[in-house]
Parts: sequence; C-alpha cells; structure tokens
Amino acid sequence: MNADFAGQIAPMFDLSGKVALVTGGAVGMGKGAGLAMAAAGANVVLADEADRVAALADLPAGVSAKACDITSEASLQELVVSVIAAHGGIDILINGAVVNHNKPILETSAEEWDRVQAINLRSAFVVTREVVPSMQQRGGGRIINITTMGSVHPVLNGNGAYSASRAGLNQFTRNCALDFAGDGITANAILPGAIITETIPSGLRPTGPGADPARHLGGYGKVDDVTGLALLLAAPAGRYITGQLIAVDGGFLVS
Amino acid sequence: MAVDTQAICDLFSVPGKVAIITGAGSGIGEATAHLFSKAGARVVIADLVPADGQRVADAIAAEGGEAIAVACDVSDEAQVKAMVAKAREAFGGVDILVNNAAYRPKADFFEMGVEDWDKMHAVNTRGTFLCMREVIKVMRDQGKERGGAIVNISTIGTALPTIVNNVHYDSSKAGVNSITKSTATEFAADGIRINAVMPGGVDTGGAKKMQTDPSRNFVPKGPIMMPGRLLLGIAQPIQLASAILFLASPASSYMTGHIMAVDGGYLVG
Repeated sequence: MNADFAGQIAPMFDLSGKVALVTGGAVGMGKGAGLAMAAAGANVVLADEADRVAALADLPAGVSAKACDITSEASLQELVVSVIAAHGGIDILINGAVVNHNKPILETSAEEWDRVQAINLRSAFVVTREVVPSMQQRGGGRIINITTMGSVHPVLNGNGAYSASRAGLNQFTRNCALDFAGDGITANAILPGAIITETIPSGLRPTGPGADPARHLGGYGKVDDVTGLALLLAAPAGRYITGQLIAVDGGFLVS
Repeated sequence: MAVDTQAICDLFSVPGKVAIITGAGSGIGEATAHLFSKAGARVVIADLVPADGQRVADAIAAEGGEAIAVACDVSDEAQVKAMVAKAREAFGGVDILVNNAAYRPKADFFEMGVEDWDKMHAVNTRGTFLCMREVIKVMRDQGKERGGAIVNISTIGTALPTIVNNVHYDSSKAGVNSITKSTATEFAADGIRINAVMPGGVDTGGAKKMQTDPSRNFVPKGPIMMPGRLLLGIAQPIQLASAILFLASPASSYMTGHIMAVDGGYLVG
C-alpha cells in the first residue's frame, strides 16, 4: 500500500483560497455541504433565514453565516454583494435553500404553489444570476444545486408542487452548464434520496413509493452521505463533470 | 481555513483495499490504477496484453505502491476465474472491481459480421458479467460489513449517439448500464454498491490509434466530432479516474445503481 496516500489525494480536493456561498446553509444538507467545503480549506458563508442563522453556534474557523430572505430578489442581491465585498468574490455556489411541501394537489392553492417555486427554484435563479459574474471574473466556478430524487421519480403522494420545483431546478442546472461552460464554470445537481435531516416535518404520515422502507435499498441516509459528492463537484477532481443530475439515493431509483 | 486532510482522505481514499481493474494496461484503466494506488489501494492490473499490465504494475511499484499484473481476456470464463483467484491469493480478498476492459473497433452497419457483433458483446457485456459474478461471490463471502464497490465503465453513447459505425459498441455498453442497475438492486443487501461511469471523449492511446491507423479505414464522424459539442474539451484519463475513485470510495457510500456521465458537458451541448 502506498504510504503517502494522504499527500497524494488531498490536493485533488483542496479548496484553499476558494470562497463558497451556500443558501439554505444553516440546516440539513446545505450546512453539511458548507462545512465539508470548509474542511477542504474554503472560506464559507452559510446564508439562511434570520432565526436559523441566529441558532447557529460554534462555527469552525473560516465559516460565517448571513441572514437573508430567500424569497426576496433585493435581499439575495444584497447577500451576494456583501459576500463579494467581504471575501473578494465567489468560486462555489451551493443552492441548498428548500421548503418541503406535502399536500394533495387538489388542496394546493396557487399562492402555496408560487411560494414553493419561489423558494425552491426562483431563488436559485436569482442567486446564480448574481454570483456568476464574479465566477467569470475569477476564471471559473462551480454551481451545485441540491434537488431531490423525487424530481425524476415520484416518491410521495402530495409532493407535486415540491417535485415540480426541483425538476425545474434540474433543467436550470443543465442549461447553466451549457451557458457557462466557456467560462470554466460547471453546474451539477445532487439528487438526494431519503436523507434524514432536522427539517423534515414531524407528524408526517406519507404515502407513496418512498413510504415503503424496503424501497430504500441502502436504508435511510444522513447528511454526511451527500457531502462527499458535493466536495467532488466543488474540487479540482470534479473539473470535467458538468450538466449532471447525480442521485445519492441509496438505490431508491433502482428499487 | 486550514484543510482537514484527515477528513478529506477518510472520504476519498481506499487504504488497504484490494482493487481489480480490468484493461488497466493503458488509457483510463492505467490512470485509474495509478490513482487507486495513490489512494492507498493494492491493485490488480488485469489486461489482455501481459507486457502492458506488467509495465503499469512495475510503474506503481516504483512509486511505492503495491500492484500485481495478471494477464486476462475478460471474455474467457476460465481466465476470469483464474484472475480473481490470483487476486485473492496475492492480497487475501477483493474490495473493489473496476470493469474497464473494452473492445472498440468500429464497423460499418451493413458490413458488420456477426463475429464483430459477438466479439464486441463478448468482451464488453459478457466480460463485465463474468468479472462481476466471480468478484461478487468473493465479496458476498467476505460478509456485508466488508461489502464492496463495483464501478463499470460504460459510454456516453448509451445516452446520446456519439459517432457512427459504433452501433455494436453502444449496444454492448447499454447492456453494461442495465447490468449495473439490476445488480445494484440484487446485491444492495450484501453491502455491495454498483455504479457506472459514462465517459465522453477521452484522450487515450486507443482513441488516438483509432484516428491514425490507416488499416482501420475509419474516419470518425458523428455528433461528438462537431466543434464545441464537448463543452469542456476532451478529457484526460485522470479526470475519469477521479470519478471512478469517488464511486469506489466512502465518499459515495449512499450511491448505488447510478449511471454517472463524466463527459465535459456533451449531454447538455
């Protein structure tokens, strides 16, 4: 066995000097991905709702948090301006902001639909639009969108609005990959499966394929299960991967 | 922020793991063998051409790694069984299998003989099945806790045609995709994860030879030859090897049954 494997592998995943912005960064997979970027050497800004940001404690060195209103274009613009002012630019964008929505389609109001799309899709568009010019100036960048396996195969009854918003983000990801390839910017989406996080509503009694534990061949996942892929997509090792929708689902899509 | 090298290496390294890589005497397989060694694996270089395999094994040893070369035609059942037996004998088990060996000669659709068709499927599809069958037996016997990871090399041509005169190749690799998903389902309970990588255009010896050897009488044409379709240009083998290592490492421990393109944006170009 090669005795110096640490010295050989670490540089492939080194993010020293990089700046990462994570929306939905105070909880769940956004937070996990952000902390993984920090462990790889990046300066990380976790952006989220004010109460979630206030609840963050004991952030490691190189990690800061900033409150924003994910539904407000002005607030998101201000967020990006402040991150660039503080850190000089942005190299890695993780669009992790998300709201779960589980309600029968026939009972879903247009207002609810619009709110789900605003948080889960429109916010990613706005933040990406504001961040990409900085990536272009810096000669490249990485866009990582966190969607769901439910965007390609229905998981739960009542997830219509949610899944549609995430499917929209998938295709937005692919179009970003096309539009910005010439700038050295890659764009990919992570499609998590049944990852257990603190934001899953309690008392939910879901029905549908995903409610059957047997469909999750690898059992239920945890936040750490997606951080490895996030790191690959952000790191030098993932430079040639773009436009991809990559499931981290414990085999649900082949169950 | 200081890099947490330990955390990164825990995710993306495979220290002490035994990895069989077929077709490791050149191209993507050779790059993968070197990278796996750098990531701590003990590597079995299985290649049809003994001298190629030995050259790579020697190079890995010179870098301070551990590798053995085993001559193997993956379409030959007896040779596959013997190769896996040698891997166990040398390193005491098998943790990772990368099915990279492939047959690639192009053939005109109308002039393609059944022997061309059969040879293509014998190496690419049957060879993948045979290597998986023999290795999964070993992995299953080693127990669920040890488990295993298998990475099959497919082609972007299974998702979107790339070049003409390649019908038999794309067909054989679509079979590999299907095997990947079926076995991921079948062996999840044994702790064995099975995924595939679909390369796009890769700058390997085989691809170069395909374009320059006049005896092959083949001029590559098709969508992938159109300027700009590979948005990020042609890949270097290390870029494929990186994705293969990811799928074999703890970083992908919750992924199985996934067919992952590493194509520099061909599918969105």
